[in-house]
Amino acid sequence: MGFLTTDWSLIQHARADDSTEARQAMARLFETYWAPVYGFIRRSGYSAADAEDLAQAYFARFYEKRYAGDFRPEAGRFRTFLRASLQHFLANEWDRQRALKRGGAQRILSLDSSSAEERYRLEPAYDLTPEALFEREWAAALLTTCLARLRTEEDKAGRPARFDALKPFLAGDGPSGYPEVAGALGLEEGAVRVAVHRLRKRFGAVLREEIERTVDDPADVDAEIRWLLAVVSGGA
Amino acid sequence: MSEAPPPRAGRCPQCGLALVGPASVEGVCASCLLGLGLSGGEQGDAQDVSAPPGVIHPLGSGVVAPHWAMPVELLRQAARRLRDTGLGLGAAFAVSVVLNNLLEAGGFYAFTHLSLKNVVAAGMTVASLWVAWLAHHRPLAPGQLLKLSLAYEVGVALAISIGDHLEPLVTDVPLANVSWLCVWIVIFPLVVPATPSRTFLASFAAASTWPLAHLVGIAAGNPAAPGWLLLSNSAEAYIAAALALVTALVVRRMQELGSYHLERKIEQGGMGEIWRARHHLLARPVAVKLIRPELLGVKTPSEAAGLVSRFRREAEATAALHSSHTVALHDFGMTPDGVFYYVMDLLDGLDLDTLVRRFGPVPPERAVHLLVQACESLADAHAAGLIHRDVKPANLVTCRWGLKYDFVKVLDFGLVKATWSLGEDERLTSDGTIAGTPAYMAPEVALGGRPLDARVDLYGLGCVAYWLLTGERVFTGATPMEVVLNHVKATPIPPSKRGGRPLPEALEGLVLSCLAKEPKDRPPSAAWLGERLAECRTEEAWTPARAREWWDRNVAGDLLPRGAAGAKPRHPRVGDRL
Repeated sequence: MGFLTTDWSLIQHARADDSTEARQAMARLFETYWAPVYGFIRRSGYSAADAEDLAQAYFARFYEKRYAGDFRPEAGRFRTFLRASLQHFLANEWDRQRALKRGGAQRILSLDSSSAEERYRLEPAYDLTPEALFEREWAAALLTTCLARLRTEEDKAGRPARFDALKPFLAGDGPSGYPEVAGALGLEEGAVRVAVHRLRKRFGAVLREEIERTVDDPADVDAEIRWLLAVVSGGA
Repeated sequence: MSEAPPPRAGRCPQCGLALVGPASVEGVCASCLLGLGLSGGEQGDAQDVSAPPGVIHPLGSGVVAPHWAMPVELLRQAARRLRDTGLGLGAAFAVSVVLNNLLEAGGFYAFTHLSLKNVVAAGMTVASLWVAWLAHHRPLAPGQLLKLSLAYEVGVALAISIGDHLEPLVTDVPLANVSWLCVWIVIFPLVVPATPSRTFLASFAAASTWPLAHLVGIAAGNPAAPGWLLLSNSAEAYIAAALALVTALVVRRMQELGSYHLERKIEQGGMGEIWRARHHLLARPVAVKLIRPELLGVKTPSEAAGLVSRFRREAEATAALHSSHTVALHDFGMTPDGVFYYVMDLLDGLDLDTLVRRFGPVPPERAVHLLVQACESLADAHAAGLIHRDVKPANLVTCRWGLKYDFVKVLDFGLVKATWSLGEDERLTSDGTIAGTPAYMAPEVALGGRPLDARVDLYGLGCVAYWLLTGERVFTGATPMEVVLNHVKATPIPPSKRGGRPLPEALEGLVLSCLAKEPKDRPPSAAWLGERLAECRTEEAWTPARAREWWDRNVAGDLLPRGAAGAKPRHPRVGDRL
């Protein structure tokens, strides 16, 4: 068990007292990982409207610590906990009317369900299990969040166009060459290479930060990345 | 850096992953993005992320061979010759300074630009001695030294040409100015062999110093030579450059090793290097591993002979193995220069260490599929009385074999016994301390003092299974010794808890039983283990279709580098000095 340095460890240990910090941490995580929860419910056979309500209800209950008893610290990671407790929620405890009343009446989180539905529709329709879809959506949500953070940082630094031009280079040499991008940005090629190098380093750091939020022990970050590698390569 | 084959449409140009579904986020490859987050030494360096599986060869360390690759012996010889040439020419230039001044002082010859000649010759003396020093002490990587040597070739050529043009040219006989330049251009590729293309470029540049130096001569006050003379003299130099290319091509053919022609270096590792080669008569592509004897701790000829005889015994034993999951050893031996080599199947695949590092832990059904095949290989070897003793993810390769996908091959059978104490990961020094990361060391190996049996391989296989299922080593520690102590005493965390996902009970039980501290508590044999693993019920099956889908999705094209059209070395790293 790690020290209370991650969002997930804060939440795990916030059962007794309803600390503001823990609530904020919880909200951060839910907003980031809304899409995988939504996708899981959709793939479990619910309509878009129901899935939205159910996801909201699930988060609401979680938020109110109704699920505190389900905490399994030994699971170690928010991802595995979330998936298991979501399964539990859908299988045993779902009372649609109650949830509608709760979730429908009182929006406690501002969540963008239209983009989650859009992503869900983009997934191929073949027989992915809800669990497999959850993992995929999780990886996508994580990476999207990291890219969004990087974009915000670049915007704040007054370089919004630069980020969009350099983004394709994050994964390696981009589809167009460095000279073309340098020309488009009005920079030297060397400056573009340096900027890409810094952007990659920064992305790696942001990715680790975001994953650290979801694991109990920061030492688990590498293992979590490897697991996500398996997910995106279709081997998980 | 433009040698790479064009990426297939819809695939990441860097790692080859098909950019569909979760593999792409905002049009960027998700796998490469995730790789940016891995901590140092794995894919943490942004440069490393771009390594496609296309250049990973299972037989080596994962270090990509640089494109100037030439056989190590040729490079070492080249360094020695460059040193001798630098010393010889340095002395010659120095003597020329003395001699020219004596001739002038004695009134035997009147130089038109003696002081300028002195400056050029003195400069070349210093440069030659510097090159000799670099070639002798080898502070540069082989590729850099090769580049330097070619620059030196051009520099010497320039000095010779300027020297010639500081005196008035003989204009009444067409070939009277046949210069040392031509001799230099032709013989240099013999002294320092380089790739034909580089040799041609350097020779062409060297030949071009002749017309260039003519301009220097004019600037120094000499009359301009007639056009026909300049043309004929320059033609001589360029003909010499063409001859140099022929020389380089002949030298290139020296990349022969017994019955094999070395085609292209695949990898450069700490222990040696791996080459893609072809048998002369059968034209069969093979992998040749060259091991420098000093890295095996061999110091004297008798030790070398002893090691060769050990290799021979092991090779004979290996030849008795029949499992298709054991990599075939075709040949082995020692070159006249004392470099050990062995010749194996050339595999189109990934070792299991790389597999998990790049693609994360595998689903239980795939782990079972891979492990059952490894068990078959081990059972066959154990029946023949051989123990592998170095079962680890890096020694198991999953590959495409004919029409089969995810076909496992166990490497280095029979050879590990000879090199056991000299491996890169589990190196034990003579005083018993551990000098590596003994991540897969069975307790009885660490404790020593009792004969090892086949169950040591089952412990290793348990560690491999753990790695496949969790992406983690069974034990970690701040120091190698801590890892060893953990293997001896600590109880492993069950893989399902470590990996955070449920696993079939039977599978987890078998993995943990392989990791038992006492050999008697482990499965009785590899054959038994293979049968029990095959009986494990998993939620899904790892079918040939799934295996093929995985390979098609994740591995673009052929993993085997094919000559110049093979995957490019994007971030050359030099493992060895010359």
